Order: sequence, then structure tokens, then C-alpha cells
Amino acid sequence: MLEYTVFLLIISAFLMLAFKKDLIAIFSTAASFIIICMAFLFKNIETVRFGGWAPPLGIVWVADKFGLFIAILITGVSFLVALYSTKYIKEKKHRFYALLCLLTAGLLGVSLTGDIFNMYVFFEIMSISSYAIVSFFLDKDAIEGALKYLIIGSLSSSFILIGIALLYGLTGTLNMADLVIKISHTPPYLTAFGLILIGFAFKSAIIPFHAWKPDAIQGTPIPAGIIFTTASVTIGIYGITRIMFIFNLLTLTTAFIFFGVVTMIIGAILALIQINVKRMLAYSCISQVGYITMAIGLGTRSGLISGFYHILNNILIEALLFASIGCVIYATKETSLDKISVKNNTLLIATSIGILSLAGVPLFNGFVSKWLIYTASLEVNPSLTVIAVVISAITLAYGVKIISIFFNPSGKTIKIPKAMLVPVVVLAFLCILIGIFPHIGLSLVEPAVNALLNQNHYLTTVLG
Amino acid sequence: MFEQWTSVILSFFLFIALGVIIYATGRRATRPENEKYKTYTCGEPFDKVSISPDNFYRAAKKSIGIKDLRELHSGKLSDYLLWFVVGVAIILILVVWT
Repeated sequence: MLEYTVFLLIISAFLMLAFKKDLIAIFSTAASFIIICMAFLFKNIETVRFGGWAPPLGIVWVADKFGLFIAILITGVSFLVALYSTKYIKEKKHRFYALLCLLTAGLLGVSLTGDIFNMYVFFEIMSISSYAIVSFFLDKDAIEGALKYLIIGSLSSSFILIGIALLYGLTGTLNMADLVIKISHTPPYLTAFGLILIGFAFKSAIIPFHAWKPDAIQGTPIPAGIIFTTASVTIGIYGITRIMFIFNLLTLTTAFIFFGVVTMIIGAILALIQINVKRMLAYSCISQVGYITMAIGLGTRSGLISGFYHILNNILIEALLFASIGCVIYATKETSLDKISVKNNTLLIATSIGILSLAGVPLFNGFVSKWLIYTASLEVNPSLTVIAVVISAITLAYGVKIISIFFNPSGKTIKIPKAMLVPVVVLAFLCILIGIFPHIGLSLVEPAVNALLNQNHYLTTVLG
Repeated sequence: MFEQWTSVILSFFLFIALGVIIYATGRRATRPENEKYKTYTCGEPFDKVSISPDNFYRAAKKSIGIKDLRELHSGKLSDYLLWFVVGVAIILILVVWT
């Protein structure tokens, strides 16, 4: 059943171009979200063998709880973005929706496949549709951002391809479960994994692979910005985590703590000094990726739970902030914090919820995952906790800059279409709901962590 | 994992309720009028002012480390590619050596 979600999205992309109806994209993303949620609730692990070929010969898809957890987040965000775009995108909307469906299909494919080359194919589908979406407005910022993204993105994709080719040359298989049996931890294999990890580190914008992101987001339409700061980042982290744990590369955890800390610090400092609100949110996203990378790099169960919880919260918070600030940009056509001054109580409340969540203030969802990160890092190295807390304070500091646009006395009252406000209100509600009832998030996160740590179950299910 | 959560949440609500009560029963600050107002504003006309977000954390912008960091993010593709190459080198060295 799961394979149909990806096919549905790909077919919807072509139908969008033919019939130009918004409902096609909204329906396909909503249907994918519902199917994935059902699979998460009722199935432990599901495999799909294409063409009836038994692994390792044929392509196999493996939807374990970890993959499904990521897929839920991707399809959920895509559905909200599809809804939000009905009013935000005014011209050539069918093209935007077609690209959105392809992008979502690529992201879903990466999270569900059990074949490493098939993963690369979906990674490319996702990347190529991303380049096109970034250049969607065809203005100077959009083309500049898209070109930079295209050049560095193609370079990182080619690293993944070289890594996969090296693995195939060494083992003669592309099935990930089969690879686990056939690899050894010698330099040729490790080089191959290193090359693959570089590709995913680029996608998740870990420093020093982050530079493309603010430029790309500055030029991209806000709905696409939501996808880039949430789903695209998540798939990068998914790739890194999957490769690290399935191929038992846990010696790299210290390196990931280092990269996480650097990303967290530099992302937050650069966000603090931005004046363009889109760039600020892009750097903010980079900083949060640092938290996630550090938490996953801890390598412990509590570290993984906190990291995965922060993936969930980061998606909700960044989507909320982008959506609410996107409403302001929609009304004012301005992105410079200097020039924006508006009055709208719903957006003020929603943005404040987003900022407080991002900074990890209690009663908001960000606090739950940051608290878990603090406690998990305390077990490994208390100095990591101190850094994480200080960066949270800096997060609040740049958040104040964003909220200030609602407090200028000369601000004009703006009216926002309901189709754009609904996703904002839903996301704000979820931020508070998870903040007050953290068990809701934990019910999603814990099965994903258990699936990741129980690799034997994955291997026996795939190979029999 | 969240055993003490309910009590934490209740405590927060308790503090919020306490704050609301203190706010509601307290003496409201009133805007000074006439001569008293003139004293506060040194006799000059007092208009509503707003600070541009660009002025926030201006000191941080000019500090040495952050200034260097800004210069490194030049927006030039060749610089970004250099960052990329440095990242590739670091990851490959770490992966193979560890």
C-alpha cells in the first residue's frame, strides 16, 4: 500500500500540469499523509518487493517505524504547504504544485526505500524539483539562490553516487540489509560511507555545508521555504542516522557532536545579526539542526529520543514561523525587518508561540525536546548542556527581533486569507498541545528510536 | 520520562494564576499629565518612538569574531565551494581515521 503514496504523488504532479486544479495536489498530499499515519499505527514493519524479485536481487522498500516517523512528518508538512499555497502562489500555481508533489515523492521515497541506489534516485528527484522550486519566482534573488544550490547540490549528489558505486564495486549488492552483512570497517568501505554522509550532511545544512541554504531560501517562495527548512533538513538527518546506525558507524558519534555544536553556535550567531527575515529563519533552522545532530551524535538511547523529538518539534516550529512570517510578507511584499511593521493579533500570537517554542520556553513544545537534549547531554558531557542552554538564550534574542515587527506604532493592520491562516493556527495549536502533553510526541518518537536500535529485526524482515 | 510533568504544568498554571491575581488587584500605572508629564520629558514634546530591528545587537555585529564570520559568508560561490571542500576533507579524514 505504501508504494502507492509515492506513485500517487508522482501521478498528481503530471495531473496538475494537465488539469491545473489545486485540489489534486491537496488531495494527494492529504491521502499520502493519511495512508502513512495508518501504516505507522497498525504496522510494525512493512516490505514491498518490486516485480516479485526477492532481495537482494530486486528493489525492496522497507517501511519500519523510523522511516514511517519521518514519512509522517514529510507528508504532514506537504499537506499544510499545499493548503497554504492556494492563496500564497498567484501565478503558475499548477507548476508550483507539480514541483511540490514531485519534491514530496522524492522525500518519501528516500525515507521508505531499502535499496541504496533507489535512495539516490529519489534523492535526485527531490533535489531537481528543489532547484526548480527555488528559481520559481525567476527574479534575481531566486536565480542566484537556485544556481548556487544547483552547483553545490549537484556536487554533493555526485559524492553520494560515487560512494554508492564504490560500495557496489566492493560488495556487488545495493540492498542495504545485504550490504550490512557484506561490508567490513576497512578504509575503502569507510571512504564510501564518508562520501554518502557528505551528501546527506549537505542536505541537512550542517556546517560547513550550510552556505547554500540562506541564499536559496531568500529567493524561494515561502511555501517552498517551509519545505526546505523542515522536510528537506529532516531527510538529510534521516540519511545520516540511517547510514550511521545500520552500518554500525558509531565511532563517528564524537565527530557528529563536534559538527552539531559548531552548527548550533554559528547558526545562532549568524541568525542574530540578520536583517532579512527569510535569511534569519534559514540560519535559525541551521542552528536547530545543530541541536539535532549533537543529540543524535550522543549515541545513547536518551540522545536519540531527544534528537528525534527535536526533529518533530523543529518541523512544527519552523513551519509555524515560516507560515506566519510568510503571511506578513504576503501582505507587505517586504522581507527586510527594517521595513516591515504590521498589526495582526493572530499572527502576533502565532509568531510569539513559534519564537517561545524555538527558544525552549516551558509550556511550549521546544522546551520538551530541549529539556531532553539537556538531560541527555548532561550524561555524556556537561559542557555540551551549557552550550545548548546559552544558544537557547541567543535564539530568544534573535526571536525578539522578529516579534518587534508587530510592535511598531506605525504598523498597518493587515488581513490574511483564511486558507493561509488555517495552517498557522493548526501549527501553533500543535506547539502548545505537545508542550503541555509531551507524551503525544513521545508516542511517535519512541517507536522510531526502538526501530532504529533494533537492526536485527530490520535485517531478518528484509532478508528472511 | 515525563513522570513529574503534571506537577510542573500545574505549578506553571499556579504561577500564571498568581500573576493574574496580582495584576488585577494591583494599582495600575497611570500616564502622568500636564506639568508632571512635562517634567518627565524635560519639557520637550514627547512622540512615540520605535527602534529599527537593524539596531538590535549592533555591538554584537561589530565584535571581532562575528565580523569575521560575516565576511566568510561573502555570498560568492567560489567561497562556498571552498567551505564544501574543507568539509569533505574533514569528514573523510574523520571517517577513515576513527
